Amino acid sequence: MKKKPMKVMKRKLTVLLAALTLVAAVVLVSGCGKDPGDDLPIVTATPTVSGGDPSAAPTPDRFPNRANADTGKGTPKELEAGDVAPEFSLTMMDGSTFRMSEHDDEVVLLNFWATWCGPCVNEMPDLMQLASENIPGFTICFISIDDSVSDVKDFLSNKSYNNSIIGYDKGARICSYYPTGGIPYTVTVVNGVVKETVLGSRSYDKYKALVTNALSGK
Amino acid sequence: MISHNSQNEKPDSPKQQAKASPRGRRTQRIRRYTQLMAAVLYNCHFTGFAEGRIYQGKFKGVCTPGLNCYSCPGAVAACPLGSLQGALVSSKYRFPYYILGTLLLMGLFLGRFICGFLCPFGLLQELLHKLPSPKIRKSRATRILSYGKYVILALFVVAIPLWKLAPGFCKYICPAGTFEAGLPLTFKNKALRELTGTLFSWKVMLLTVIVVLCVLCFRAFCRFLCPLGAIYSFFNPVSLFGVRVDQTLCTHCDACVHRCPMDIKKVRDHECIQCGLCIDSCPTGAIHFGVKDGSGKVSLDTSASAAVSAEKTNSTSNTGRTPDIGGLSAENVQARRKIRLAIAIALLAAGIALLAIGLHAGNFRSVMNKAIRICYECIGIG
Repeated sequence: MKKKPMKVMKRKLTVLLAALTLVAAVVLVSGCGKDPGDDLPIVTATPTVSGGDPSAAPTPDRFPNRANADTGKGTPKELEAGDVAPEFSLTMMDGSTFRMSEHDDEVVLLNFWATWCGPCVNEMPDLMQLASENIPGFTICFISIDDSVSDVKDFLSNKSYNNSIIGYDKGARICSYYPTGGIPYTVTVVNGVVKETVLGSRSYDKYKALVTNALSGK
Repeated sequence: MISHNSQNEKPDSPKQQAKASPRGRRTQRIRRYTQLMAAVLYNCHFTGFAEGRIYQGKFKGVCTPGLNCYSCPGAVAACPLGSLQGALVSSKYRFPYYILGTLLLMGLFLGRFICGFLCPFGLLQELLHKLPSPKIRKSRATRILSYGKYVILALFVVAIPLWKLAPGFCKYICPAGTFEAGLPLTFKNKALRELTGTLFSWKVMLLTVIVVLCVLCFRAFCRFLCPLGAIYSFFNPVSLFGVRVDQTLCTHCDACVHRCPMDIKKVRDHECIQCGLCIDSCPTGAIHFGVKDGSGKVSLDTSASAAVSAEKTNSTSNTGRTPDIGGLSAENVQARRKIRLAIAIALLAAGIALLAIGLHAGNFRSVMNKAIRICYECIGIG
């Protein structure tokens, strides 16, 4: 008499636990499972280079349908070779402003990094060396995705890095238009068009070759 | 020390323990379901495995109780150990209130019950141990080796992140990271595969060694290497839920210790993962799962213990002496209970305060910010 209710209770408990797990899993994946870029407004599709003419002289209207991280224009998507690099403006650590569209006639290396990212910090001296070589037609921009600008300032306080090429991406505004699964994430942009995306850290020689190759094919 | 489990299973074989009685089987079946459900719940971003991408939702700011790499394509929450190391790397800029508060509260409420019931890597180790092979039984040597996890905790989880600014355990040791993140991500992602080198080879080799060890030795990683288990072990004596021993019923026969496959000296010590295998072995039924009272030692709510207490009280009134409970006088038991209760209350207050300060200071976003991106160190390409 006593065992039967116990068995029924046990079965009920198992079913209840399984149901709870399933419900929680569904809630996690659907409700809370929004990607960082999900909240951004969708206006138009991101144009690709096939719709424009990369060899034309750069003007502000060169890519009229260009995604813009500042205004929320365009659909954030993982960038591939051939996509137009989304527009953004970034306040650098020295107070100057970096605007993507102002470098549409150059080779630009966008490096997404954070102070807590070991591989990012390790490759930074190599990239800084590359930047210090003042290669004509080449610009590098470090975009920090740290939790706060003070973290970046503290990090840079005891380093002799060029603060005019390091900026802090407040609220992951730019990062959402340059989505990546991990950092360091480096995007090579030639004449406003993405040429290559690099996931993970690389050596000085690899980056140098990447830049030289981009400049020669410009 | 080495035995063959084909015909004559040894007393510390989990399989035999589960066979002990219907009650024991039921407990272990519930435990297995809970472990499976925890593993599924932690890793329910199923599309991530197919796409080779990690989940990047806001829930990644929440830590799972058990060890589960947040770079696993299926993981929907953060690994507490990975988050702790990440927070320590950044501790120069911000104190890791949130993760410390989380660990403190999880430890206080559940202790190493988490290891026994809520750790996917613990489940994996137990399943590996079911494979037929010679088995290494617990001994003085394994007991000594079990202190290795505290060395790893101090060196790889605390010292290296603080001084070398790298998540030492994730980078050089964590087999969960290699298994759950490194192998699936490098398999699916060519760009990541190209980055693999010596470190990745080292981590794969270490994973292989640990897998072999787990086949031979019950929960080898958990017992000898896991720093998360080491953290939770500090809370075992005061954890609010788990196994409890009614000292009024305990005869100190050590049947529970002999039955336990872990390197325990007594139930609920720092090696006890509160799996409940011992419950069935106790001849007097002194061990139960439950919410503990302040002492965690004396069960005050079971009819059996009440009967024993009443009997002892009667004997006191007859002899005029204070009754002994588990070799301790009633006064000592009361004093211990008060101390443990005070510690538990202090830890609860500290945990809530740390969590609140951490949330206010934006630590949640900090944990999420790291967890939504692939940890290269976890993969072994950092």
